[in-house]
Amino acid sequence: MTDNLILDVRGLKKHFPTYKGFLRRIVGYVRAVDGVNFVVRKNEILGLVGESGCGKTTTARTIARALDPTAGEMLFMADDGVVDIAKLKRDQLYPIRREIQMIFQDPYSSLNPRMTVKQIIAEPLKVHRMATGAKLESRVASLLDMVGLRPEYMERYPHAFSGGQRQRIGIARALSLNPRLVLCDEPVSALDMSVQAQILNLLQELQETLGLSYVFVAHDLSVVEHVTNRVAVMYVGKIVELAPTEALFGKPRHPYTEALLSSVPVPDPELTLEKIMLLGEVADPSNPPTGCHFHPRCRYAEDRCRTDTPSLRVPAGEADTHSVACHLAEKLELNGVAAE
Amino acid sequence: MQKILEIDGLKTYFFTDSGVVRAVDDVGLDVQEGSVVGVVGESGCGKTVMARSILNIIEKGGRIVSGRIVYHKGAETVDIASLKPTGAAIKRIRGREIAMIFQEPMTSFSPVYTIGNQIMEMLMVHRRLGATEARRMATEMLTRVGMSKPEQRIDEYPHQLSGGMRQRAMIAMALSCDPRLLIADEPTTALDVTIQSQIIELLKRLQQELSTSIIMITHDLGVIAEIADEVVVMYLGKVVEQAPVRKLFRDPLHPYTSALLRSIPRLGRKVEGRLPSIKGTIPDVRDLPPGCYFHPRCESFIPGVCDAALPELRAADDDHRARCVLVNGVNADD
Amino acid sequence: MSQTSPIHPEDAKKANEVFYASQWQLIWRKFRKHRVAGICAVVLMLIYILTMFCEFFAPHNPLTYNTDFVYAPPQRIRFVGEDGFSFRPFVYGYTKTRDMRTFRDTYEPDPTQVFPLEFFPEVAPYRLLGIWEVNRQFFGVQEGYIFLLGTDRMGRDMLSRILYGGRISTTIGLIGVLLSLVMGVVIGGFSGYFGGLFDSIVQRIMELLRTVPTIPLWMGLSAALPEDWTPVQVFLGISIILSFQGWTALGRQVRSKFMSLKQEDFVVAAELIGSSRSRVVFMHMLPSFMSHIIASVTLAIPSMILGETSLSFLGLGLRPPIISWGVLLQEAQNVRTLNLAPWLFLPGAAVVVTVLAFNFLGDGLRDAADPYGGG
Repeated sequence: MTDNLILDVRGLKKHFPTYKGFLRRIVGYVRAVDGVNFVVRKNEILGLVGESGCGKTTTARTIARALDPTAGEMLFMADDGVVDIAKLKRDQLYPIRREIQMIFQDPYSSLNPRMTVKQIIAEPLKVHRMATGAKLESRVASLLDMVGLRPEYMERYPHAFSGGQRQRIGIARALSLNPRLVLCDEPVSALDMSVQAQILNLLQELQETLGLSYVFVAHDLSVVEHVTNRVAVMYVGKIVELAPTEALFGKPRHPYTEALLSSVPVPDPELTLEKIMLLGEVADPSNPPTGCHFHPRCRYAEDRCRTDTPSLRVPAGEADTHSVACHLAEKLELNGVAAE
Repeated sequence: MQKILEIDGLKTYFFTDSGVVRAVDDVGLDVQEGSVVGVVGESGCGKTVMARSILNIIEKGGRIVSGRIVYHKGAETVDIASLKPTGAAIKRIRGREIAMIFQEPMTSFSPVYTIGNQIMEMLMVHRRLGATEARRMATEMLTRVGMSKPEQRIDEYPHQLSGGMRQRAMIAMALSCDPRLLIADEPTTALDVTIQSQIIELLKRLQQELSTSIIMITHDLGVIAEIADEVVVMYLGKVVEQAPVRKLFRDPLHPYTSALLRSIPRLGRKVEGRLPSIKGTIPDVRDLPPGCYFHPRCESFIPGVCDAALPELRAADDDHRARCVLVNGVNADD
Repeated sequence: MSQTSPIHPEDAKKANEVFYASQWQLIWRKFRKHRVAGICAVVLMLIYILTMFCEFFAPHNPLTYNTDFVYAPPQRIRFVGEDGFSFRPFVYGYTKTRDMRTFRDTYEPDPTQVFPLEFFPEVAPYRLLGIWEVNRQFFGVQEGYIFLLGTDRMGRDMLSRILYGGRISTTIGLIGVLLSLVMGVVIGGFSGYFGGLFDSIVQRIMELLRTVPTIPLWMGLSAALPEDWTPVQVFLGISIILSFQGWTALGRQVRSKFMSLKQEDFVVAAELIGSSRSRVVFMHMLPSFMSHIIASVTLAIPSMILGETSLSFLGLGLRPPIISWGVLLQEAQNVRTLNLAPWLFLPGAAVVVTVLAFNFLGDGLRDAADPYGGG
């Protein structure tokens, strides 16, 4: 089983303290990520979806160790055995950095405006002493070529490029170290729609040819459906449903997933589906509701939803790849968005 | 149906250090009473500048160079483009006849007054209501836009509200003077999907209840499909296609529109393999390609034709027009 | 109606240059558009050249007194005299009359005494900047006397005194600024980068330091420093100690800049590729606000100049025989001067011009400092 795994996240928590007063006493915690479990397989694209504040980006950044986890394990299958990234000290992360890289949402802030494209893409190679001199330059050129940019442009500064081109540069930087796991944090949501498809195609192509694994964080469900193999839906710091993409979109088992799917505006005026209107807004992660965090907005909620917190489990009669955190999973018949 | 607004040959240019930016270049559209016109396009297409031109609140450096924006009020007509941006005549129209809501509600609320105060002020200035009456009306408006606990929220400051609630409050303020036309500039872009669908639903309901006309500016074709009756597609300051919503989505005439519709992934209709993408990037507005602005990215590019001259907007039938040489039709300008 | 957008090859070339332009080139482009700041930069350069080489530019020794010409008014440089136009500028001498009731001398220009100006005249050898021996000056008169900005109560030439005073006033503050800069960047940077407890402690110390009132501190310090120090040493001592307070302003800026930069995606990206901390700081963070630091230093210098001036004016800073603008103003500190010899306030004008020039230059630099304009 562990053979085809690349990452095994167990009980991951990331809490941000909130301070108050002159002495900056800790008065509470924002439970941005509150005990999530999932695995990432080799050659797989795992989607993390949810609304703002659900913890999807924090999860990705914690895996990349841009943030230090509060608790939990992140077992990474490195070449020379299993490493728990969560336990590594900052200065022990150096070898892991080669294996796990990240692609950022905003192509404008993710590139240092004061460096040329060559310097940006060559930096990881220099830091890891993987190439120097002419070899470095040819490596940068081949990386640029790989992401569909002309190598002649490597002496230019980022402000010479459009959003989509900058995102390609960011991808080239992330792939320069030959990582095995890439965390894509909303890689297309800041781009113009006529450019999004190019970047999605590029990401898919690179994933296939280089045998990469992605954790693909996004809020756009149509993009997630197109790109991913499996999806984890998050709500207020917890995973509420985790399933293969087709199963999750076709037959969701969590009321939140159902509502989320129903609220996506469909670019087809002839399709007039009955929408499920969710009441209220996303709960505050520093003060989440008791029981199931979703119960105040859930139209199926019962008494026990208000008191008992459901855990992620495989509902009876479901394939063991599909798990959901809902007390009523067996009772409910929910609608997906399967093609007619 | 009656026309409420007619835009004709509108040009709004920005005069910058690095040259003239033709943000809106010869744009025309009509808004019928009680209809929703969707304006869709990507960054740099000029949709927001166009919307701001209607109220003559163009950002610094830009001004209306030519064209007409005719507002009909019964038998009376006013050409907004010819009014002074700071004059009394336009102030009578702004907020009262034509209201606008923005992507970021915080920019249109003052942070130092409660939302109640601000809505009441609108009512007291434009409708000359007394304070108690204005407060009653403001509470009613907040209830109407689905604000929970309106009596309590009316005394809260904008920053105390969540993004979705702020957007509702802004809609309440915009509609408080019963405007005949509402311009909504990307009102749901900053919101989560579930909140976005609440706001779209709200706008649809209010539009039917109050029979207000709406100009909906967005980059999201999904939002357009849900709310618009008529659609205007813009690309680099020009209208490239104009049609009723169903026609546009079923039978797009401009290669840009059809390529865009094919390139966006759709929920529940997964494409196997790759998405059909549009090549290249949007050119800089200061450095436009010759001929049709879309030709460097176009699948149906005809050398010697498309890069020679910018095509006119041609009418394929009485309500469907596109700016492409491939459209068999008559010149819409004739 | 067909429209094609004209593409000027020149524009395309310009755009291409921009693509390859580094941060400093972009800053320079933006700064050049700032007229006033450019003019101020030239003015400041002139001021520094004039005061740096004051031995060369000043026509007199600033300490030489001349009892014949006490409170003499400025002489005008003339080209047209009684015998017509002359290419060589000249000044008139004075006729002095004494009011026997008040014993006050009054001076009138005397067209019969014509002293032509001479450029680069030979004078007694002196050491320029204390290094090179030179025996020429910028200008002088062969015979007679020249006081272009008048004289003071001991008949000393004001122009020379302002130039010599400027040398001290415009440079002595730089040491303080430099020290504040180093401390501000290092401590503020560490505090912002590491955050946590260290940051909290540094923050409280900064707040404490900022509450200490400046003038009583100066008074105390000038009394506390060793008595056998010369006034210049005392002043240097004070400005060094003062920079221990002065760094807090810069420290705060640097700290907040570090805190916001730490969140920037490109800094996170640099960390994620495994860069060491020093690489992240020196390759990515510092260059991002080097230009801001230069701008704030430019804005900090005038306050140091004003500090010197106001303290010397109060008698707490430099003291005669040292000459500085503050010392000169202190000597002009009575109503009689205002009435009798308003030219003694000219050092004040020098201060105003210098401070304004620094401020405008700093403004221009600050505006140009971020050529990427938020995006």
